[in-house]
Amino acid sequence: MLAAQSFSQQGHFTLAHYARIAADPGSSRALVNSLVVSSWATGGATALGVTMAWLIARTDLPGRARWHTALLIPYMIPPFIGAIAWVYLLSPAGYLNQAWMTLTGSLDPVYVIYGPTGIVFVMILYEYPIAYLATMGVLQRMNPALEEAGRMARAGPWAVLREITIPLVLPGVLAGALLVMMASLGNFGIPAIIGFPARYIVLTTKIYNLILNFDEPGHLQAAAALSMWLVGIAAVLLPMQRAMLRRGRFAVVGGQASGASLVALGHWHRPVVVGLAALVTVSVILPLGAILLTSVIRAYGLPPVPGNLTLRHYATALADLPKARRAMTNSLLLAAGAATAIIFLAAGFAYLKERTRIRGTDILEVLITLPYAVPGTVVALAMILAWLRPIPLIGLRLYDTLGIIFIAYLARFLVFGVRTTLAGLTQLHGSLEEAARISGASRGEAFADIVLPLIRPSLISGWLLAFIPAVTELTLSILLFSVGHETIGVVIFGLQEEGKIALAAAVAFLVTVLLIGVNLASRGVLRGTGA
Amino acid sequence: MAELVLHDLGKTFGNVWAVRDLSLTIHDGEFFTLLGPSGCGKTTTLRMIAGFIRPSAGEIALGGRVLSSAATRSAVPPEQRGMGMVFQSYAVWPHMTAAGNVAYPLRRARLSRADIDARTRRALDLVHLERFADRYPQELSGGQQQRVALARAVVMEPSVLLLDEPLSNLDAKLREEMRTELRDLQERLGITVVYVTHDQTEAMALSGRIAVMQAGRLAQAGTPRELYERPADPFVAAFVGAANFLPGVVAGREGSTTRIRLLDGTNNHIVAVPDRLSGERAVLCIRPEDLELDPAGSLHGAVVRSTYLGNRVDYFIRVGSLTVRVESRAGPALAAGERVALRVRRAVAYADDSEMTSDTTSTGRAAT
Repeated sequence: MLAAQSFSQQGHFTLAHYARIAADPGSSRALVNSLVVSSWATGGATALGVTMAWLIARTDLPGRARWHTALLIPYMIPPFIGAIAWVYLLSPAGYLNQAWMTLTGSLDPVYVIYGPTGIVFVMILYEYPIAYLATMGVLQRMNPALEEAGRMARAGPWAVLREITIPLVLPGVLAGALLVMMASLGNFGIPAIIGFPARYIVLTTKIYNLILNFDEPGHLQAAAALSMWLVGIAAVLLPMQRAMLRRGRFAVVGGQASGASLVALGHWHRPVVVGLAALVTVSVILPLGAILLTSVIRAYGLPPVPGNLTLRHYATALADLPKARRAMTNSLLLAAGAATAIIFLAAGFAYLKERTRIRGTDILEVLITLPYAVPGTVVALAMILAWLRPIPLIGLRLYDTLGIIFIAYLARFLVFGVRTTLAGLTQLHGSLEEAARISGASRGEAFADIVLPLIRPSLISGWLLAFIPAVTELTLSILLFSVGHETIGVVIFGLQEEGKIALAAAVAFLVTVLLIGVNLASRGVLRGTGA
Repeated sequence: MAELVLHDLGKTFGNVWAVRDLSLTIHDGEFFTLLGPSGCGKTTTLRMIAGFIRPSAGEIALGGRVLSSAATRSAVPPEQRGMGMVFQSYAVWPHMTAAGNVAYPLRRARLSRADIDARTRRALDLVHLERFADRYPQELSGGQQQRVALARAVVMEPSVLLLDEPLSNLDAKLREEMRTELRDLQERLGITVVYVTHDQTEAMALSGRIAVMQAGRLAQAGTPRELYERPADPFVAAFVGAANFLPGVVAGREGSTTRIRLLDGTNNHIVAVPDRLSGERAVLCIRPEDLELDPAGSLHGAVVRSTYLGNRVDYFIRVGSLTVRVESRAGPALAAGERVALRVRRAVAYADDSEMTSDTTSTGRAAT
């Protein structure tokens, strides 16, 4: 659909849209900007993530389980909310700049976040957990005997690290880095909030501008043509990432909970703790503090003294702003509805793929991955193009309804449900079901009595994995919402852009705290059920 | 009557025949074993009997009722075959207690609460798990999980019990214990058992009859004694117990006896076998315990290596250009190089139409 539109003009095949974006220096600049920003972000996030993973998995650092949780919190903060928080901190009048000017008497802010370095900085802060988790996974699954065998072969600890550990871990790390790259390229919220004020445009924000530029004829088609750049890049990166994962799988066979020998930190202990604490401060405490502070000050810019504090914004957001209340209802309903539908679809799909020999499930799986692998902006555009006109025959028009957002969430987050359900079902030996069959249960009864109860933890975690990002989804919603059908992400973004900063902060703070709470609580629940 | 009949049974996966032309009749109340190396088609056969795999050819019938038929493309689903099965992985459901697992088939059959309780308790008694009824599988040892699986398989008093390598995940001592119990259980319940294993010792110890399978086909079916003493071909001879395979040529035929000259480089030895062999070339098959150290023996050789095993000694003995394996009761130690004489107590032979390349001993596994 998207590809077709990018070639069409009133039903005729044309390359005009491609010609137009090729001729527009803004488009090629957006492409270059996208690549530059994403490359730096990927490098930084990967370096940070790998270092952290090594520290937590392979050193004798005390309290590693707590640090592990703390390091994952940035992952639970929606990136655009993180970006808004850093604007509060480092805009020309941001708290950190104010503090600097007050302390030194300088008239210039120490650093203004707007622009490419700011985008890269915030991306690193909120994307390093991707690289961290990927590396952690490999390090924990790696059979410690592989490293011990190296020691027995007379290799010293550094030789083992260089010649055994790193080569074994590398494919997994690179796969993680490619995921970071895709996340950076597809991110809309960070470049929108930090890039627009500096007129620094990347592909996703450029496409956003094109879509909203209703005065220009063929604007959607031009956006579609530009989107094909992003699709093209994803089409290169995704197979690379999968290939890396496959290569990495050989390296870690047979690993269980690893009893790898830990490196003693010795006198490095103190600097490491200081570094970790600094990272948590910069990625979690400062931003959340900034949002909280902004939300309780009478007006943004006033000094944070007791006389200026108020809870009025929360009251406004919760009671007097119908848009905000509506958005919360919409987002929770959409997220819960989409997550529930996803779990049903995923359970059905996983069962078909794992337990029957119906053909085409592999292709279907690739199709399910696509809407997540491709940047959200592109997915939203595809949704617009597909649903703009009423559905033939039944005459239902999804555009301008919650329905289009629901379908977009469904498509985008389906992969989470499918992955977790598949993982759960793969671990379930087929003989468990066969034992039920031979005990007198039909196919359906065996599924209900044996399979469902046993994959329930996977289903719950799949539901949460889809629900949590959907609650604060911005990229899709901002392009698909209509009046009366706003979502939380849209409202926060809108309030921020309109300058109703304190209100934006109030909503953002509520949602972020809620999400982190749900996330941490669900970890406890899932651990309790043995997932 | 629960006579299980497999008729010309076959199964293809892609272009490969996993099972081919398999015809067997398993009698009511018989302990019948499908024996063979991995990939020989024994598990596929068992799963066709259970109804998890549809045959590509042939038919399966139980007590005259057709269960699967390739010709009519019909198959009774597993849950309606009235069989019990123990899986190699046990497949004990981790979200149900031992009693819950055992009660499940009864619940599916919609028996009354009281019936379910009574029969569950009886089945758990049968496998000595009465005290563990309320434990979850994670709280049970491997052997106990195995018993839960067994109780679950027999609780409905099936006419046929299918066992897929049920002992292969147990340690040696437990395996022997369970072997005895399985045999007991089968005798007490009088049910037909179809047992799949790759372990010939297990098969010999348990079975009334054994079918040895090779590459999807039936190699030989018979009692353990028949298989061991009169193996139909070298494969069966090697798989069931250990054997020396020695090259020879036919030297003469008298009635139903063939005299074979051993090609050991000296050509001085004649061995008589109770078979009428066609052709000129032959392979002699002699069990290690059928070669006896006997000063009056006609086969002369020298000890290469000896292994002391307590109740017996294993020797490798060089005879001419051949090396043979000899198993004898532990006697005085023989040193390497010592000259000995051997007597052939019993041998079988097969016509050899191929070029025999190996001049040495057993290709089979050691009999224990």
